[in-house]
Amino acid sequence: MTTRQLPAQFAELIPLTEAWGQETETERNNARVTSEMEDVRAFYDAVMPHMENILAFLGKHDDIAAAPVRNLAFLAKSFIEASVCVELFHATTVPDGFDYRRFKIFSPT
Amino acid sequence: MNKPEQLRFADAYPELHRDPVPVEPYISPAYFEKEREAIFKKHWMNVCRIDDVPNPGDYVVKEIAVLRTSLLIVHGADGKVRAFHNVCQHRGNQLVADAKGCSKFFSCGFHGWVYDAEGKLVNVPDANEFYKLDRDSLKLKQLPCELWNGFVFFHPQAEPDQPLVEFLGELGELLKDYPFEQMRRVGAWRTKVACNWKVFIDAFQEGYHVPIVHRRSLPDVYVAGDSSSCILGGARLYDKHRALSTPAGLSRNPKPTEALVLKLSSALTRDMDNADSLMPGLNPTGIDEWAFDINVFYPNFFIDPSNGWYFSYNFWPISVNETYWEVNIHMMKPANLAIDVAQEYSKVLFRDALLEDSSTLERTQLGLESGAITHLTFSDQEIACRHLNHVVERDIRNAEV
Repeated sequence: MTTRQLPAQFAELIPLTEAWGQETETERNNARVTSEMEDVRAFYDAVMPHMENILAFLGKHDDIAAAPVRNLAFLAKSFIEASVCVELFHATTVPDGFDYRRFKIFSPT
Repeated sequence: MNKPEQLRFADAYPELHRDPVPVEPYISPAYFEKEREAIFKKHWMNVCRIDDVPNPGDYVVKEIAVLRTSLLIVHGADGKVRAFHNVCQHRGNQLVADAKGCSKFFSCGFHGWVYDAEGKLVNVPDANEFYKLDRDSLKLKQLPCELWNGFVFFHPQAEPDQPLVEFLGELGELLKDYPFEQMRRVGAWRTKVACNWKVFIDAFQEGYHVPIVHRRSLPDVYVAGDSSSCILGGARLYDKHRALSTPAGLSRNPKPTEALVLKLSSALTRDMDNADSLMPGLNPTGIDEWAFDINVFYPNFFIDPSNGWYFSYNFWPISVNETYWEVNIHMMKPANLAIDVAQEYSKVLFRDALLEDSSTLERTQLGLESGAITHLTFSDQEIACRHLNHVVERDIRNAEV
């Protein structure tokens, strides 16, 4: 795995792109459910202080043609996956839930 | 405390009894066969959206186990969407093996008979070896297929009893101006679950389970007033379809990420807009602190809309205790990437809440099949479950006359 480029003001988040920020829901969810909870929490804790700025930045863009912008948008989507683990489930998977491996993801991205 | 009698949904529907409902229709293979004949072979059913076949030549293949057939849905060169049995007229081989694609012609993988997107037989290898080849009678077998608001419906009979719009009736009329076409699919999930199709549907047409099943994902989200209960409002039981509205607990404090995204977009948990800017067709009975509506089109299709997103369910019976489930969620096309990320919150939360819902289904089916209970005791809040049973029973009875 290698890191991906991010817009300059978010450079400190670049190391996180090695494990997070995949371009499909399937991959982002897979990264979440196969990680340890402490790693998901560390990712959440690292990104949360930047989320307001990330959303403000992404609010000025309407396409993912430029790689740094695209990578930031997908990193933010990975953050969303992490947020429900930390804020709601306190686990990487849904406690007492249906087997997620049987729930096939066909989402567009 | 019991509700005053006049507030009960059931009072408006005296044709529905209030007694416990038999379990038998949920577990009996013989009853399932009756349902196949009396229900699934006789109603308009949604099979996909126009977004699945947006351009001429686009096609999807859908296995409709309850009809023991495979359907080929094709967007024709003339712009019309057609539904065919995916069966070559020569020796009965399934014509198209791919789940989807784009093609002007369909060539059978057995002997190479070729059909066009209108179902016409356009090429037969070694045609002069046949004694008599009546190409007109060897077109692909077509089924009635109509579009409503971008939803593709088909009818299993050559001659439907009524046109689609008439079948969708008042509920279709209510949703006819909802801006489906301004939305895009953001999430799609599929699974097969070992439960009866009515066990499945029942789990999604009441709110009674919400504070228990969704205590983690949606704490205090869909609650009425200051209560901790999800008391649905505005129950409307039509001839076969039915609808309800879900309350929103507006006094709740959003979670940190939810609070961020709510500044940008209406979310699964809450509508950012004021109630006076509701899209057409929403909250028709005007319940207070409204979240979204549950609209159930008989026999197997839900459209649950809110102000800026809707999700849909298609429940496809396979056998008495197996059902294939298709879930889609659509949201307004985002003006920028921040809104796109905000929408991801609702999508992810919705998906995970569905994993909670689905956890009950196979255990319920096993419980019913154990024989330990013979009847289901439905509350007034579960009147939609009672109504489904009522309509199913009536269809079967009518088919037997």
